[in-house]
Amino acid sequence: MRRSMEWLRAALLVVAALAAVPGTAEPVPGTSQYGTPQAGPFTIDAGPYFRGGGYPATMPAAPFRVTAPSSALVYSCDYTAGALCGAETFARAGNATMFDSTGALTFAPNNLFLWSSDLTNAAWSVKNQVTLTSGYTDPLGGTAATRVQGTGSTWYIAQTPVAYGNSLIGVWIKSNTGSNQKVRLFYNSSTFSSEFSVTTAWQQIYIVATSSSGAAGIARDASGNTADILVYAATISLVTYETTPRAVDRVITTASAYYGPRFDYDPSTLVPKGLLIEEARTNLLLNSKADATNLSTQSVTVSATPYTLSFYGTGTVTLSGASTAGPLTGSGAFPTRSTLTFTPTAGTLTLTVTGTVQYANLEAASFATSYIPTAASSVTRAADDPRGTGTVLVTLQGQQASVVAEVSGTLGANTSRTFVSGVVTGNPIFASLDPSNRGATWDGTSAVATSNTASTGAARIATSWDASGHSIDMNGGPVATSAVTLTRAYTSITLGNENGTLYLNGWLSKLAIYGSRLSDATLQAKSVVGAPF
Amino acid sequence: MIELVVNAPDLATVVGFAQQMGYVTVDPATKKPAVTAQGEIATGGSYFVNVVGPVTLPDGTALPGIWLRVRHNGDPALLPPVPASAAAAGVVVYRLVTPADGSVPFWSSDGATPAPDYVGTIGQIM
Repeated sequence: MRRSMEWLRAALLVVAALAAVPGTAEPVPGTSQYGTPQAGPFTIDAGPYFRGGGYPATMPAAPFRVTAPSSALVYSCDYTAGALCGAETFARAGNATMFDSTGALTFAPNNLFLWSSDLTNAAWSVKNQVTLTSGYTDPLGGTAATRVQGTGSTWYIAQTPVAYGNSLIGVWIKSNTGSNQKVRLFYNSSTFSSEFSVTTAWQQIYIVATSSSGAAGIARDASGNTADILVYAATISLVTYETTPRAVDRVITTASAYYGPRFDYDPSTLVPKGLLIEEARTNLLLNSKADATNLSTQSVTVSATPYTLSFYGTGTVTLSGASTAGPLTGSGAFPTRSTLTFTPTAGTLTLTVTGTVQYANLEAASFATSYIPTAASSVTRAADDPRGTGTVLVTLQGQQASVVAEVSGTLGANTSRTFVSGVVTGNPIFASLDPSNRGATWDGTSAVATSNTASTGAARIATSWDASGHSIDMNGGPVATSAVTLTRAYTSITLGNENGTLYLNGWLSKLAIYGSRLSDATLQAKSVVGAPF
Repeated sequence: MIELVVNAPDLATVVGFAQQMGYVTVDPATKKPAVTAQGEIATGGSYFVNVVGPVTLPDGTALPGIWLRVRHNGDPALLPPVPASAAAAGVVVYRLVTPADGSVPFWSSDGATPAPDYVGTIGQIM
């Protein structure tokens, strides 16, 4: 310990000296950038900004940083716990479906209202003498609430979200006059709820909107009385079976609607599966509805490429026209899913439905992804885009690092499925399954693969690198090595895809990042599914 | 949140339009341009470009040209401007118009004339 402290003291003295040079100061362990202080001994290197091909022969140029000892675990996250862990971002430009903890099929977390607490923004339309003032005390003690003074006899404040259907519309609300008042919520531009009593205490009022479109918002009571109220955190969220607001939808929005990550569950066992990451897909079927309505017989224009039909239920879909594959007979009631992959000739494919056929997808691909609800037209689900940031990015920008990533399963075998990748020329992949179902890295030019394989089940891949090369292992099998380093000046770290391609199409369940190259023996031990990080 | 539905005479024109809008990247290895399916918006949110291709309506009617739909889920001010040359190249850009009186929104290429109903259904994003 004394020797460790001496190293730490020496390191900090060097850093302090360097900090005296303008523009070269770097934080030290214990600051927000590095989180919890690590045990020594510490070393000094050029940090993430050093772009050389190996360790420098002479002291590199500033900025310097203090790095943790080689065995230090820098970051880890268990996504089966149902949340990101602080060093990730998530984006998806639209909605998606998932199974929640009850095993029900529903929509991912979402809030389609823009500027959900700032009702003074132009995204909200007002009518008939409404005065809006921001900066009022909100339920959390901040000043994000908006005062709404409706003085006209038909006042309202509303917004027209993109494509909402069966939804929960809610808002936190409070009287600003010291006495109770009444308001209503509305959707479909003119479908009003019954009156809510607005008291002098904050409360969340909400309604279920069905088959909705057009404007939604807050309006006068049925008698056309004026109102003076405080409003905070409006939500309009697509749901399926839910009748009360979901905590996961309570996200304050600004210029963009909120489409959140999917922490998915096995609908049969209710076991959490982790963060579902999928590529963009289109459901070509019409009126495949989220309310479990039976699919109707229909025809679809197809090309001579692989398609996958999937549905829940015990009915049968018989193909004719461009393909006579199948028929696909459902092997069980919901949540049992049945799939059929086939390659038609180009032309018109007719799907004749008998029996119970629910939540059906027809996707132009060789395996099915999560259910995509449709109505009068086909619908495309945008891809999931989670990224590693902060500690994850900084660590993987270093000269040496290790990544351990575990998936609870993937949707398609015999395809490239990325666990973790870095964004830089060539977009190296730290951990993936290759088309032969081997654990694999990609250095931007060539691949290195493990000798053992894993198909669509749980798999854990551990990869470590330094200036002398890199090693990879999967599920405790033999370690594969390469003399090619993965050290790069990464600008971003993508989870579950290689910068917008080679999607995982599966569930990322665990992630760990280390600040150094682990020994092969350690790598092998940590590549076992469920092993401690 | 803004959505555009775009119709162009052919795929090359669609790619050219997307390139001018900043939705095309060139693969450094192959040097080939490709429409970027999605990306982040600087001040928050993300965009998604759905290259739909040719469209046949449910009644069997084949629509002319190639179709594309863009969802810009972020600050409207950061939506790249539609290239001035687009119209001359035969590109028609439809936007959803929300009437100030709260009546039902409609798709239009000129901000006033409602487009055929099918326009809003093309390349619909979940």
